Amino acid sequence: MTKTSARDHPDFGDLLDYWLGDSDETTTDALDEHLFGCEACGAQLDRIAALTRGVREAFDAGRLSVVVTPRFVARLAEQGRRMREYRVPLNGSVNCSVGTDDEVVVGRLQVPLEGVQRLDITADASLGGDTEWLRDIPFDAASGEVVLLSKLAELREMPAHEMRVRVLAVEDQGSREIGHFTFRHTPSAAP
Amino acid sequence: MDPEDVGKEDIEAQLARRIAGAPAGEALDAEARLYRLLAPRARRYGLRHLRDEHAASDLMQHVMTLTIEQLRSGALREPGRVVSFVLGACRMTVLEMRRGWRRREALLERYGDTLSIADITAPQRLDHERVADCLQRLPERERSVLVMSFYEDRPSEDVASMLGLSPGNVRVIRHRGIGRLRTCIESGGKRP
Repeated sequence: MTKTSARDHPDFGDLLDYWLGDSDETTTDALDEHLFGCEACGAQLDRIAALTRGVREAFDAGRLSVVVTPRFVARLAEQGRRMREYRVPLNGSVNCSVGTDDEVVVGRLQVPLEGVQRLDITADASLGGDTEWLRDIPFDAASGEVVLLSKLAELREMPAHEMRVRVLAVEDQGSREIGHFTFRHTPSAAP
Repeated sequence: MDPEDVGKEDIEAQLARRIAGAPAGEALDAEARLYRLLAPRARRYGLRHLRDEHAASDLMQHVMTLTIEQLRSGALREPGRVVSFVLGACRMTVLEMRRGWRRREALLERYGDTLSIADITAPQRLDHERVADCLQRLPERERSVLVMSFYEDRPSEDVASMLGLSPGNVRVIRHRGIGRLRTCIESGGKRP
């Protein structure tokens, strides 16, 4: 972290660190002061605030599919988000749907991850279309699961179908399947 | 601070002196201009330190009410240092807001209706569909780090511990991801 005095203009990275609480106390105080005297940096911080708010709103609108961690899901639950979770055993399947009140749909793929360095996922829907590749996804090997949050807005519009998901450990010699999972989706009942 | 910034500070000091030099409540135009200049900064401070838009708006309203009241009454002995006063008031108020809301409510009840407070521009908002589209185009790892960082404005150490990464690694991924996201959004979501 660059030390920032009231005379220096912090760069975008410094302001991002400040916004997210990654700057130390001295730097935070200096930036607080700087931002009260510098409209240009204030406007830059407003752009960061708008970006972070935009990400939250996109997430809340169910427009993102994203790989997260069990602890992130636990935080959503603590906030009282209405969640539908499907825990799928290794090489297993699950019947699934989405309700009108659901805010988050979580797929929890139980898969051993010890020793895995890099992980890819492929998804093939029975409705046709290209294979979707999620490359180099983040994971916590100790958790023994891959946690996927679905794009809820899209899922609500989908007819009955199956989604076959393969989890691949990527190694020097190529990729190796370490688990596969099938989601059998049925549309939600009309409210 | 560059010369332009110094010029702006002078404007704030001049407005503060005009308010302090006029009979209470007679310098309404100066009060409104000072409010427009300083209120957004107070709100930014509130957003950063309180992490809540409503609380930040409350902080802004409280601090600006206090500032103008202090100028009107002559209690602010150095009107030329009004910017420092507002920053100090923000710091104190955040501490108070974390303790409770009693003083804020008392002040607003006492002075809130008597002040001519101008509206300020609403915080910038982005089209979340465009943000979503741009996020979906990011590599998985960057999208995950940005969502987990920004959903609750979490520091790198926190996100790193959830992902089994180092904080430095999270910051590198975050920096790269937000750079791509900005480029995509600013280009109108056009594909390269």
